[in-house]
Amino acid sequence: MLSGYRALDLTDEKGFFCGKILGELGVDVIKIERPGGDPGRNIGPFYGDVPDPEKSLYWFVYNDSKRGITLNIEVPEGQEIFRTLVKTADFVIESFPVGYMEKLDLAYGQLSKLNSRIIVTSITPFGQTGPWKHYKATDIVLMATSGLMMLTGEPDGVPTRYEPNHSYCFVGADAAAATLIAHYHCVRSGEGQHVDVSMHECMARANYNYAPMAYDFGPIPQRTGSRLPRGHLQTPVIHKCKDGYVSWLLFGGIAGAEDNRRITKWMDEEGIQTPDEIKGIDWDKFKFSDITQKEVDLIEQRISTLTSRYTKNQLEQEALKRGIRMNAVNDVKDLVENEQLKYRNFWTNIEHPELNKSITYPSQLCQVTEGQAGVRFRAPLIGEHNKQIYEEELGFSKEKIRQLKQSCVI
Amino acid sequence: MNNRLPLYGLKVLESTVAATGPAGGKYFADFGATVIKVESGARPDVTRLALPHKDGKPGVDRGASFLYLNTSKMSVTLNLTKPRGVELYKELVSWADLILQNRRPGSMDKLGLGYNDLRKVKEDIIMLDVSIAGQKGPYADAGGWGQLTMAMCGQFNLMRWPKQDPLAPGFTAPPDAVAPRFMVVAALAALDYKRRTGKGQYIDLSQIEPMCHFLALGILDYVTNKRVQGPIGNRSERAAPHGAFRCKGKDQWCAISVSTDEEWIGFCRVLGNPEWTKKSKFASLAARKENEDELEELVANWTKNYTPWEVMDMMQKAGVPSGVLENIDDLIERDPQVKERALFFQLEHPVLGKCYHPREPFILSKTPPKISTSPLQGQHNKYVFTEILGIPEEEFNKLVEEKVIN
Repeated sequence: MLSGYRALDLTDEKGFFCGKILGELGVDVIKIERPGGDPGRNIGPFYGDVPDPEKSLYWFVYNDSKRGITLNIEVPEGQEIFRTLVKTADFVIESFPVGYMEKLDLAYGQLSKLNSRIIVTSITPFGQTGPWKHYKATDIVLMATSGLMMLTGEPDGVPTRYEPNHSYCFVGADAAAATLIAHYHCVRSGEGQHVDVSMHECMARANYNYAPMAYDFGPIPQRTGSRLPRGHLQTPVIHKCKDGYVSWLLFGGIAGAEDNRRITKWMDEEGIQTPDEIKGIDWDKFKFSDITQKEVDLIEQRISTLTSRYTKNQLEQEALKRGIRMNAVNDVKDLVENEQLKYRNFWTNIEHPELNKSITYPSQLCQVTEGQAGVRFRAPLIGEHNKQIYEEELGFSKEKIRQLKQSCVI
Repeated sequence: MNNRLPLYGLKVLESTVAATGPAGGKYFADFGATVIKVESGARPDVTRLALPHKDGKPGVDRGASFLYLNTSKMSVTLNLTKPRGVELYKELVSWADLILQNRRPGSMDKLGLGYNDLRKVKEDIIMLDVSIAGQKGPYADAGGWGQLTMAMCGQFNLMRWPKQDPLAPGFTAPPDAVAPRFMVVAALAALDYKRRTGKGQYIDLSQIEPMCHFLALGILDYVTNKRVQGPIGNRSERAAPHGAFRCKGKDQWCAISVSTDEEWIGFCRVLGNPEWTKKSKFASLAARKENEDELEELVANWTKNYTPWEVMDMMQKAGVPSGVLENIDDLIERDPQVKERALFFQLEHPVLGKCYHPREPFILSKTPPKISTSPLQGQHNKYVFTEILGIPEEEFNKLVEEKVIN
């Protein structure tokens, strides 16, 4: 969808995902690595469990659909080459510490003199300004300062983060959105700009509404394990089954009436006893405000009795048939085998000729009827496109390239 | 309207309910697009009715969660079960560049307002439909909630400690927050494509699929190495100590993450280089990983003497990634970074009063957003139908009377 545009991607693991998204939309993303390769290549796990900068699965999944060159932007000759490339580019994405690009004379103000349309997207832990601008962060630090971690876990237990890397991916999506908003403006006005993406803010916004809402309206949410607070009540989010867990949620009002009726019918058919206290509930009139925690617990106990009789897949399939919103708590194996993802052709095989192998990747970001939005080709090898860029595009002589290699510029 | 807003001039018709669709539309509205949200007067958006309410009293303009998801938008109410309602909707389609939807798959088609119907109205329209599992397929009709998406995409399975139950976080459903970012990305890409080719299109965004990209590392590990990634709680393969450590005060915690040798040296210096840090069993990352239980106990023994803010400050000044586990009060009242960068600010709402709102989590140096409070239900009926669509006032009044505009 975005073929014809070019992005120079200087990011480390904090920003890989942004360039990946742009690349999958068709932008010519050129990943610029330091000579010898990006440190992100040392992150495991590795293909075949062999630690090797060309076999990092981490590198594979977050740098697909990008071309790759090596360039040392810390030396003047390298900076000159980078400036030349900036003239050919629409976007620069970087995740260096605040002030680093400026020291190299490569900050937005300096680059915009070469190309007034350039959009420079800077991804940093806490943003370009403020008392924490030089502070460092990893995924867990961002989960901590976002407020999300404090809400995840048992009330008296350790607050827990989400799956590893959640924040880096989330930030990448926001950074891509921000870059394209700036791009829309540029197309209309011819004016580029600097996009300051704070990972801290992205994660503080990751919950779409709770922070200000809870602050102004209360109650301030607390950790509730795997139970969902509903006013004065809590309801479980998961139920144990024979081989794992399924997720089912009790809802009140029109949001839940149909589901509640159908699952009640299922439990009745299974011969699961209904305690007197919850007999004859009219689901059309059922509201959380009219019910006690004890009654909720009795409803949920019936559900648990039902789920304990079957496997997660049996439950999910039967629920689908009955039009009940219940899903298996999947692991990666379940995902790869999931019928819905197969139906939508979500998986695609990407060739890795040097491994003599084609690997199945999660493909589309979404389905589109024009253009493409998904993995196009595998991540680059170290310096794989040096020849294409330096020789074929910039017209450097073989002699110049030899000399640049010798002085470790490329 | 301000033409310094980056999306100025873009016209968006939003036919969304609940959280995900509106959250995507909010980006467009806050950055200057004209966003008209079509609501049903008879069946209000669930977030208008959901708790919490102002002063505990329900009412379509008293629900708090609607407030945060629909800033800077206009609201119209239209009865799409009446033929004239459908006609008016089509007139809005003629006006729009982009339609954002998240109704149940197939429900707009039933009203004669599916993509194929609307292409006849405006051939180059761009329509983006966001749903739990996609518009078609065995799971498409099931519908669902953010929490179910987390279960399906494998996230619940990882949000926990080994051998313990999954921890479904109380107030949040990450996929509901992730999908809106992809709505923005996909719609803006499609708009650019249309500008260059003249072609509109239909975008079918499933909430599960972007989440699978988040979990792609585990997927690749499975398809290549046949390993099924398991939960690791707060730990990391690449760092130790790495976790949340209890600090001084009630339920106070600070995250510390030590990956490199340099960070370990800085970390030890902050603690005053006690004897235990010099032991060989903590000398390398590999050694620290091996003795992680003991290591974590020793770290917690130190952090308990300080507030999390003190720990974060000391660690960060020594070059160690560290962060307070903030709660909501902290984010809005105490976090100095959030305050300095004004992530939250107050807007006055005619019914709900002065409320905090967040801006988007990035700053565009030349085109900051302009955010106004969320609309009352049907607040812009008159403006939209008479000014934008040019319906004579007499006819407008009749449409209100006939409850086409409800």
